[in-house]
Amino acid sequence: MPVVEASGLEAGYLGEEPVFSGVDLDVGEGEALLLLGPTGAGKSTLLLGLAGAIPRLVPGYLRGRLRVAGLDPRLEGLAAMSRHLGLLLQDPEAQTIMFKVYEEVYFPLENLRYPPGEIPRLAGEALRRVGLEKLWGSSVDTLSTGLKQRLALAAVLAPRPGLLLLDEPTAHIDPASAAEIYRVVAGEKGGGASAIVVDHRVEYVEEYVDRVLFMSGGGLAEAPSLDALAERVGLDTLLRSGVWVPPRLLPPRRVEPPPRWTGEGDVLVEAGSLSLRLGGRRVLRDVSIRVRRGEIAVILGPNGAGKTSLLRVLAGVQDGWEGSVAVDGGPPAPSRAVYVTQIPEHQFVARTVLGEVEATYRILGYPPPEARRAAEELLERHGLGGLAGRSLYRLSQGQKRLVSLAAVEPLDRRVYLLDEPTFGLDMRYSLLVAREIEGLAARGKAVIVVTHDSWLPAILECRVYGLSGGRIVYEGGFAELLEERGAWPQLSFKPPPMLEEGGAAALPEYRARIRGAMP
Amino acid sequence: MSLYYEGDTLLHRLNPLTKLLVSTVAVFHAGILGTPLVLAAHLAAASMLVAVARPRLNRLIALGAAAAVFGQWWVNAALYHYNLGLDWQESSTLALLLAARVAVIILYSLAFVATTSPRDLAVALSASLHVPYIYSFMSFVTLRMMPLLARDLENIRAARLVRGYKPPRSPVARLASLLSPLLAVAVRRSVYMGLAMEARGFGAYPDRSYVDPPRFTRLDALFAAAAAALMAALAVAAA
Repeated sequence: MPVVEASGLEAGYLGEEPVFSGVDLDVGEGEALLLLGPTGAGKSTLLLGLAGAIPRLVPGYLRGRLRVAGLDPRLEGLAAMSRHLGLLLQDPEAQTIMFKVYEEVYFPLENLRYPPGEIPRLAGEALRRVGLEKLWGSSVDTLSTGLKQRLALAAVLAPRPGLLLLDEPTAHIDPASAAEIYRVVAGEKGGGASAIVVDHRVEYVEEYVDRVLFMSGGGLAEAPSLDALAERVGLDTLLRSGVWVPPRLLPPRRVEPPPRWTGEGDVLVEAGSLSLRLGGRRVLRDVSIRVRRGEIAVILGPNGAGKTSLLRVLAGVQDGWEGSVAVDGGPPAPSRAVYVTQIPEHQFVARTVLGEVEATYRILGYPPPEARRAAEELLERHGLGGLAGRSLYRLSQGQKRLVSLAAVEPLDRRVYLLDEPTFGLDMRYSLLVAREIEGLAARGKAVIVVTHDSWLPAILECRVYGLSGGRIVYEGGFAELLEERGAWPQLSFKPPPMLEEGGAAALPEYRARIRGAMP
Repeated sequence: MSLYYEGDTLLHRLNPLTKLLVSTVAVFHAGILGTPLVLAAHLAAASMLVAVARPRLNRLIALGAAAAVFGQWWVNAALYHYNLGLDWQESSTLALLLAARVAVIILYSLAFVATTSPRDLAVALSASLHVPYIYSFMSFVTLRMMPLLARDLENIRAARLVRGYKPPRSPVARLASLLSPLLAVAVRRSVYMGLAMEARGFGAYPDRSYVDPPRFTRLDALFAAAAAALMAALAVAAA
């Protein structure tokens, strides 16, 4: 019997046009599906509908014939459906509910009234499946983001659901943790569980899925693999939709980066023997980095390695460090560098896109009419003119990121510190951000980028610093890192499959294929 | 943010409901009787419990609590003196008794929260007092969100500092400009947490099972009896 049977599904939010309509979907036992599509196509809405969150928890409507595990989730609701399915979302911080690791896995079992005598055994099994059994009694707050997501997966798996619904489960975590999540999911599939996965990072998941579905324009197209899907709907359609098309499907194209900075290469950022303690824990130890004008430095490392703390020290917003740090010729201070936070909303000071950019010009002392004119011009230059009047909080994540970068451009400082600038973005927006980074370096800025996305340093001309446990454990070029496999585990580094197989020799071809897809 | 820390002190071993009951009764006892002897005894008892609990207090919070007690003393003393016309000695004594009540509340609460896991309290309320678990658990889930929101606020502050942003002069506009991004992130996190909780069966049944719920032991009986005896003796002495 199919685990999911749906026909003629139509869903939407109250007072809005349907997000999708006429969707037919069958998922068999032990079958795994990858669901792709542009932002706003309705992928998450479909998962929430199948899980029973719509309409009881998320105000909206879901019409059509629908059976999940033989039940109608609209009538049952999410809590009741959790006996049959597991829903894993993208933000591990907002998904860990309890204080201890074992309590987190007890939580669903206690809610579902499992006999108390059985719960420790089932929790132990679930933690073993995700490789966290040694952290049984640890405090959840001490876990890295990647480990928290594995813990959330253990909690989802503990009641042994027959269907897993995974909504961008790897968006916040490092590549090695992402690969581990899908290894576990593949194990569950082997044990007979079905899965529907929404994820932009298709490279980690495509080998485990039986079918690929593409949602766009309210409808659904289906193929047995990504290659077949690209043939069916067209590569351009996938690229326009922001799907992370594997480079093997992309034609190599010679797209040169902007001309490199040719002025003087003064050192703009220099840290020596930098150490930092936070809450009694040593977060940075003996860190030394040096970044020149026109240079891009990429900092890689596992969740919790100290990458964001390093950026905060350089941005002059973190006290308590020891060692020597110079930013643009002086000690770190908020006025010396531009700091772009991981969550774009943290930067916003206005309500509309135009107001946000205008605010920066006002900070710089422009009179209101000139500030508005300058802001309009800047938005036009970045191709964001059409968004000027839109509310910042109603933009897509990618649009928010581009606006957050554009809004700090007028500050025109010589040092840029970018924290996970491609975090949670689809391919199209990620490549636009990569182009912005290259543009900054070409204008002579020193750019330091913290990222989990191993494709990003692969396409940029950059120097890589590998941070692990607060220490620099790797320093060098990206091509050298590809050859130095011994450094990978410490950095939770996992290059894109093409580079993992081909090493540094495959780098030029990889670059040509990805850069060729730049919008 | 929780002040709770794991430990194995006498207070950690007590059932959360015993601690809740004893500290609530003690606070009312001190507040209603309010004689110097009763308040001195409660201050001594509460200080002893805090010494047993050894809370890991942020210096700023400790200073804030001490300042609140001290501030209340002299503000009330001034009010008694200028508004009621009492002489300074009398007004200081009356204000001191009021401040002592506040100190008793702070000290008992501190001993309670430092040694009581929010999860154990929620479980005890539901398993022993049959409070619907949806309500008892929601309170500590709210607590769970606090460190995340504090981090968000810190990031917002840092981003504004770097940008050189000067908040609007009007207090309303200033609050709105700070709250808009914080609310946007908080609402998103809350929706996620609500989804995650229901996706883990929260609310699927009217009740749930509990692994190792806190139990009442002989220690609870002894502690409650000792507290009752002390308060009874103080009531007799105050009469």
